[in-house]
Amino acid sequence: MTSRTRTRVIDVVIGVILWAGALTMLLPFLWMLSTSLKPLEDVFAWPPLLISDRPLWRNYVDVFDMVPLAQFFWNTTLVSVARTLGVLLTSILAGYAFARMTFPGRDLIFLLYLATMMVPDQVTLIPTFVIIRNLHWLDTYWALIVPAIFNPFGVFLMRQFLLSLPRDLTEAAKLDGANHWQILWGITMPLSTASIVTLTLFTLMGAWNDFLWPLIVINDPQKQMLSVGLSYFQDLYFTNWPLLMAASVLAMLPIVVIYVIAQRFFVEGIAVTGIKG
Amino acid sequence: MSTFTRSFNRRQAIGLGAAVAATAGTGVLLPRRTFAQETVNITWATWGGAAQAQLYTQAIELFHAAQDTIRVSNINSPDFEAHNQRTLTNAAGGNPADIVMQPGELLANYAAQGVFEPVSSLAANDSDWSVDDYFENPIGAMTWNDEVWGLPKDFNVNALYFNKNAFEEAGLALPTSDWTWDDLLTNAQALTSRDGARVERYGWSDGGIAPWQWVWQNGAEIFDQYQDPTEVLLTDPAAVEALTYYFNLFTEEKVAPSPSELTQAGGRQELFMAGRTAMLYDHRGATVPFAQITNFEWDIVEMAHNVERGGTLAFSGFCVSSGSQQKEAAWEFVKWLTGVDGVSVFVGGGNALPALKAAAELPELAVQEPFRNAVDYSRVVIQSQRYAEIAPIISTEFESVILGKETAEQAATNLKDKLEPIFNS
Amino acid sequence: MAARSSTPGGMSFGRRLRRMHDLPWAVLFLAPSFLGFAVFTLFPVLYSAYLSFVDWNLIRDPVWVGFDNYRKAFNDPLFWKVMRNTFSYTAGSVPLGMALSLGLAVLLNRKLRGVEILRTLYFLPVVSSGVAVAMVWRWLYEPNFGLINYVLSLVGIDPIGWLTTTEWAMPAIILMSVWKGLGQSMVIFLAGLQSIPRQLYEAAEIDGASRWQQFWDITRPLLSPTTFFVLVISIIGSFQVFSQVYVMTNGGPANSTSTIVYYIYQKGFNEFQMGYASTLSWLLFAVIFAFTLLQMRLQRNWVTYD
Repeated sequence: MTSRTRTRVIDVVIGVILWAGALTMLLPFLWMLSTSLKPLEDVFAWPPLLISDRPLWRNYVDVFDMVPLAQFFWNTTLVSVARTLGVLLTSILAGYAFARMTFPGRDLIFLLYLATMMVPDQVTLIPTFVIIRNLHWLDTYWALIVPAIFNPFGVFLMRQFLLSLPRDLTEAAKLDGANHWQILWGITMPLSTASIVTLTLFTLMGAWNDFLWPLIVINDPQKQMLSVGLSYFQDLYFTNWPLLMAASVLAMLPIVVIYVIAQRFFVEGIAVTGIKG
Repeated sequence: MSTFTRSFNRRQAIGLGAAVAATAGTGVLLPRRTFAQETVNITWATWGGAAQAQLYTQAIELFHAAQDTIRVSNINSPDFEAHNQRTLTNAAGGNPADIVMQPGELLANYAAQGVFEPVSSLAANDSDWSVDDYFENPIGAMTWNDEVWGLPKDFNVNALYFNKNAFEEAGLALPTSDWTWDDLLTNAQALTSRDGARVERYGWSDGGIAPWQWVWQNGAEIFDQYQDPTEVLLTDPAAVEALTYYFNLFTEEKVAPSPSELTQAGGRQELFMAGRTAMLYDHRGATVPFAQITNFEWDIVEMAHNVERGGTLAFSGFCVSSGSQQKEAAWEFVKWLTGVDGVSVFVGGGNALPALKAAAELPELAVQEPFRNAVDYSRVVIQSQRYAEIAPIISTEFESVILGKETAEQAATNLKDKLEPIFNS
Repeated sequence: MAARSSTPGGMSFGRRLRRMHDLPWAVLFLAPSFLGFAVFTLFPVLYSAYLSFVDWNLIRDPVWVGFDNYRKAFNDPLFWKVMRNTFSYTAGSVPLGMALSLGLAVLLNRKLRGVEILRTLYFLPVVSSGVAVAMVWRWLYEPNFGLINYVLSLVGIDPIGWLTTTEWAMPAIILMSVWKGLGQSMVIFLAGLQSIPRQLYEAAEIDGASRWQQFWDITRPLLSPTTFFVLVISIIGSFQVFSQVYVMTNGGPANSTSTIVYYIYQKGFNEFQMGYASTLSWLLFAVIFAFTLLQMRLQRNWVTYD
């Protein structure tokens, strides 16, 4: 077998595995969709039904009556956009400082950032809550937006990405007399669309899935976030699976759409001229 | 107290007249202290999903319509875990809700920490209210250390749900209230159908590892007393026999799905609805989702017994926080909530049983016979300030029995050895 | 990277000057992040360190107990058990997850037919409702009706109690976690691959390098800062695993899947022992920190920063 054919065969095998794996990834989503259209008693029937014989499309309407779902969507959108702007601003600047600047204590401070990620949220919950209360931010959007902006994850991510960019360009610019601000916005950022998009995506996802913190700081249902809102479909005496799944499908869609759009920015690597190969 | 003198220092004449007119008009008698014109805002922490939340909103609307001075805002959590987190965080942060809904088992834990205000001090000057307005069992359940810590919202007892079609197909007579443990076992065996090593339908199921009522049904006891027990009595032969019978349903006879199988397959009520268990030993709350069953016919009957009848009592109540700044208003609301109007809202859906004697007589709140009968012999398992510590020990021990790692007798001995030191420390 | 060793007798003035020359810029760039970080991230963390020395049931005031909590932890058999469980979980899920997601990212970094669909499909579990994912996997693992045991029965294997036995429960959780996290790490790797100039691959192709050689000589080193990121984040994350346990098994059966953070949560919020929970968190911190320091030392051997 020529090496050409061998490559082709390997390609096909890899392709099959990839698609098979991808189909398993689809399973929960299929279950969500199928359950969202069933009447309650069909959910756990055996053998499992893909589609009940009387699909309840009205579940998707009913969810808006049971809980203020539209308000939850609005709140979560507002909070996640605000968080993203805050995260991007602070993390890009800080990441650049850690990656491309020299100053005393740089690595120590960075280690401090990393170290705070190693203490579980469950125990920092109460102290953070007390801070928010003392700021009189309880039951306000500020409580949902501000603390999350300063999550070290974003700084760590940006630092690593910026470190992996070739230094030659920035060195050249420095020799030409450019200062850090100019280098950051003129050279580094245009090359970092993928990392910015990734950080945006993760920040949005974080807001979308945030449960414990919004639960603790927000009492007013009008300001509550989506993840907490979804849990109201689990009632005192049983779980309303079809409605819960319908609401969950709706909750997923915005993120999936954003992810698909984000994919546009993931081309096959940057095209950089003027660098020796 | 100072509220009274404060109100007298304001434009009290007009206030008095208006208040009297208002209360006379609405027919609600308010104690003299709430003559102040300003409205009082109180917070009410509860848990329950969307359907429950609607009931709470309904209750608040009715209460607002019945009087002018107290305005309630509801803080509803999706489930008890979340409610607990909020309660603890708010307590730690120094702003507890004025009224807190509390489930049975943890009442003593919280009461012992001084979180709640005892009813006796709230009702000190209240002449037209009495603890005797409520059934003994639910009130006893809200009692610890000789104080009543809150008023019962409702309570629940268990009965046996069964799938009529399954019985008829198997050619079995429908269950009656005279069933003994033997009847239960033989019928469950006949109703369990297998396909090779897989079980297609289980004969019987309950909601989790709950051996307590079986111990009572065999005439034995669990603890020496249910309030702050000092001794574990599970090692008595009758208790061991009961535990062995119960756990065998899962391990030897395999007529019941183990608790982890239950969670995996979706939940005990969901399985019954899908026809994958033929009988379910559960509380009245199941009647609500079961009303939606169309694939088969079902009914309820009083649960089987052995030596005598026994059942567990589940309950929740409303307690006033000791850190509340509006205790009088909170007390008014709690009384209303657990009075006829409030109870009609909560029990009207058929989820539970009314704890108020007057409400139990209302025809629209009629309870099915098997549950009514069970009230006489249903009891609370434990009310201990060490509950939070012992609960994980108990569940781990029983899990080992279900997994086949030890016998029921060993579990009983282990529990005696592990729990008594904690109780007596 | 600036060398941190100092010459004997202190640094020369020139060297000191060079180290400080970015200082005003650094302050400007770092301030927004650091100020908020200090208030909302660092302070609560330090406060929890204080809490590790108290006994606090959240209702009454904290009571200072010194090192008692730490002593209690060392004598707590359940603490050691959950640490062991957490180690098993990390050892099982991190290497497997990283290898698979890296492979996925490399394979899906090309302009193939349907690559965008594939990338979206692999990302779906990351955004699917956690409850739905748990339900599906519970069904997959169900001893009597689940898909996995059904497939196994076709080749004559008896039903395995995936989540109902102490031997298989942790492997089952690991498998599900790896599956769920694939898409997330894949996205980060994909983003990292973006910073590798295309021309390098094109030149290598012309030179006749095989795909594996290209991966080894170009991708591996240039991706290493990203790989380091994924490694550190994965380790931190897996040591703190909580929600899978909370949703799937509640630590059972018989505490075989109970992890340290789950145990911390139980102690803090179910058993009124927030002080002890904080102590356990700081013991966990020490472990993670040690691991991370190790990673940072080792990174000199394999991570290439330009």
